[in-house]
Amino acid sequence: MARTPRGNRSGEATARARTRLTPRLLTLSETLKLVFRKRTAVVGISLIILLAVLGGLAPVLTPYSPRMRDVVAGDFATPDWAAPPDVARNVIKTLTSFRVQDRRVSGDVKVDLQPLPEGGFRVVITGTGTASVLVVSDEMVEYPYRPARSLDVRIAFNTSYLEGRGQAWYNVDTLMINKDLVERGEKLVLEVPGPNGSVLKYEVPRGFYSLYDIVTTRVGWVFDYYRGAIQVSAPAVLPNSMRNFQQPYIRSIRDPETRNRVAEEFGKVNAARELLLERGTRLYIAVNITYYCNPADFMMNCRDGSLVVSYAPVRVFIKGDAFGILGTTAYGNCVWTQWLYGARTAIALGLGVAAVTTLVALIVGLAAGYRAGSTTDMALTFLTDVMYFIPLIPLVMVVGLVFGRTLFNIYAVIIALSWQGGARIIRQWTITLRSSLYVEAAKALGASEWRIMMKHIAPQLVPYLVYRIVMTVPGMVFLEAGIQLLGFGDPEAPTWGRMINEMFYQGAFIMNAWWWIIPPIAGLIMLAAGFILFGMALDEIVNPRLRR
Amino acid sequence: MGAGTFIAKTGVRLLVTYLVVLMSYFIVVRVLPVVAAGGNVAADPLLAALRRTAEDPRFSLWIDETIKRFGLLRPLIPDQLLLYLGNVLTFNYGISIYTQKPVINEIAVRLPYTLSFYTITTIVPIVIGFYLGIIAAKNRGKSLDTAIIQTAIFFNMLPGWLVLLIVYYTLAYLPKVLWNTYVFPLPIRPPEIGIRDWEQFRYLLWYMSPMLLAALIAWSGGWVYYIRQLVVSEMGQDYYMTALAKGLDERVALSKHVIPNVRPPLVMSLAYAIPGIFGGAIIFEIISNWPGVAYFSYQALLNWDFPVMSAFFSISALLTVVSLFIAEVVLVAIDPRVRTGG
Repeated sequence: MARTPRGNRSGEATARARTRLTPRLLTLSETLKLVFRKRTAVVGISLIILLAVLGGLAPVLTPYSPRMRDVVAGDFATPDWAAPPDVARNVIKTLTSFRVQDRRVSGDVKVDLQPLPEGGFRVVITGTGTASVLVVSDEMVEYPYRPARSLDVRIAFNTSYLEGRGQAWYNVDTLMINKDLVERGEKLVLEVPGPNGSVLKYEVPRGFYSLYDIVTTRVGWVFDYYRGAIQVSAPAVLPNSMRNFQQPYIRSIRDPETRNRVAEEFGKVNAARELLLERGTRLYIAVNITYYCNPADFMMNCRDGSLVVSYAPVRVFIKGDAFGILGTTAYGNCVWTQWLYGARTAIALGLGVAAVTTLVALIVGLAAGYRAGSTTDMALTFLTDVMYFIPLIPLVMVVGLVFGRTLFNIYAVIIALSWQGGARIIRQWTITLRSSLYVEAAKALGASEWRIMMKHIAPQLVPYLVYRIVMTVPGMVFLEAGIQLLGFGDPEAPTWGRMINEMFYQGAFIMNAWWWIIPPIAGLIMLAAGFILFGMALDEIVNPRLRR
Repeated sequence: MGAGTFIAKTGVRLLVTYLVVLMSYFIVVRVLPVVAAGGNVAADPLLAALRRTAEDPRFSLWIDETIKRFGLLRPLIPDQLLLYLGNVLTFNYGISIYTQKPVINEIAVRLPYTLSFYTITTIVPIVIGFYLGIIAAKNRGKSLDTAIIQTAIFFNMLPGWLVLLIVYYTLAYLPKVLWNTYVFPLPIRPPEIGIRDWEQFRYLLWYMSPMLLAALIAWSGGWVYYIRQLVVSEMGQDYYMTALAKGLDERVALSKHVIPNVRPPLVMSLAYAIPGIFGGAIIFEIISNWPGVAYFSYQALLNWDFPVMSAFFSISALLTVVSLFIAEVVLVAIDPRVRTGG
């Protein structure tokens, strides 16, 4: 039973049977007074209010957004309170001040480093000759945990030339350096399969990693320098096996066959783990700027060259493996945020859609019931019959495929196809009420049909309408969640259904990500329990035959 | 008005409704996509699906046949609509665009899977509900009644697929992840279509068991509650009081007087369950990868396999017609007042 909110015809049959007894109808305030005497109803209302408050305060309770691109920590991060203290937590640091650590100059090249007011630095290199400048960050990122699985470094810089000067050749290579590992000269030993089944040991220096190199990124491996003004705003997200292949020590292997083998082996290495190899380690950013302007080299065609590199502060985000109240999803989104916004959508949209459905049912039911037997009535009855035949879920899928999978389309179809049950029952109530004495009296006084319907019949139905709205909400929310589970939901909607969809299809079960599995399911159960406990209490009062 | 006239009138009304439903389906699936694309016939998803398969030269023959069958090159209304209605009313669904086999055969192969699952999960909850409901009604007002009813309501409010997810997580994935043992199978490798040996049949049963468990948990609650309410409301009637006053045992009064009165609404509810036989529980089949009719039609929808979609839809609607007809005729048989209307 109740596989969908529309499937419950048997309930309608009993409701129809009950209406034949013409019960005394209670007003809304009487009904609510009776309801608040019941313990279950109070529990239900408190659950609803709890969810509504949590959902309503979502922007206050969480600084993040439920969108998929709002990555707050590593994927499948456990809740903060459930992880031991040495498990990686988020480390976020913006490195703003830089200094020149090393400067090698030939010819009459001048190098000038100025700090920028908003952080970062600006290097101006002029003259003919070559230069190699190593700019390093003053601050370091102290990393106190076990190695994290991933990190995210935001790099933004642009290069330009001085007015009236020639264009020099250059390269800007941003490196992330682990001070401790480099000082100790640690090496990573790769076991590379050699020719004839032998195993070659190849040593890769540990502790530094090229995050963004203009030449390897823009030109490939053909030249050592680049010319032209560019703007770079690139998140370097590690691990990235493609980036592993572009490391200078891999590039420097001359034999292509060996290089490919080593690169393949090194591609499997998690660069983030390599950089954060031990607890209490220190990381800094180094920017290596090389400059080449030789008028005698007619191939390179540079005369009186210049280069300006403006480098923004670098944001280092080491993604934790434990985060927040409820951890993260497979995409690194905050589960707690998604849950809160899901509660907000569920309560708001559930109540809204239930109210709209009930309103449509009321209008149709009144119109059909007040003139039972007329053409209007027959047409409306026929329409409700037709709608009973149309399977809801396949129709939602068809509409989603044709018009797009938006929350609006989904709920529009749900509303269009779920009012008929209520309309039938309201029609029956209206038929019963129509023949009551005060309606006769109003008619005799010359009241219009519209007035009688709205002033004399509709107010009588208010407790039933409230009951209907309350009992429809869980069905609406579950339906949306079910459609999400089929993959036909709105992929942008911040609903529990989308959480369930992502959780089911993105491996939460096999990863045993209980912090991600339980919240949406528990949220749906809480919502349903709240509304159904409240609705059951209303039902016993609205349908007096059940009162014992 | 005699019973025969009433049955005939009901039949005609339902038939007309069926025709209107088929037409509205045609409008949604064939006309609306074209309208949504601004009247551009080339944007028709059915033609797009055909074009996709037409890239394989082996299928050029039946593509011509499909175009002829649906009159795809003629105007949508009325030519294609009439052809479609004719095809559907004569159960002539054609060949699936996706699998390139007759739709009827494809459905017939998958029907046992849907049918076996759906029949069990329709009948067993009713039996459970019948007994538990009567037990609760007998003890109405006592703590046993409250316990049964509250459990029933709790499980009834959960949709089946949510219970299925919980069953899969706790009984299939957790044992696998924590202890590397299987209690229930993961919904990854569904049983093959066509059972050849005992081993396959056992796997099929094992594979179906989490679905059955979830369906029984989720779908029994409603019946328990419904039957308990029916029985309680019958027990409040005067005839039951009279029977007790006559000195009848409560058990006898229940079985001789109350249960016959409870049966007709139950039969009606059963009739309303008929349309589900074909579609089954669509979300169940999809999240379990169960090779039933609903899963097949879901795939058909994803590929815009119009012959399969229309077959699925029209057969479901037809079963709804049949169930409504049975229900209304049964209603006449048990309650003559209905015939006079209003």
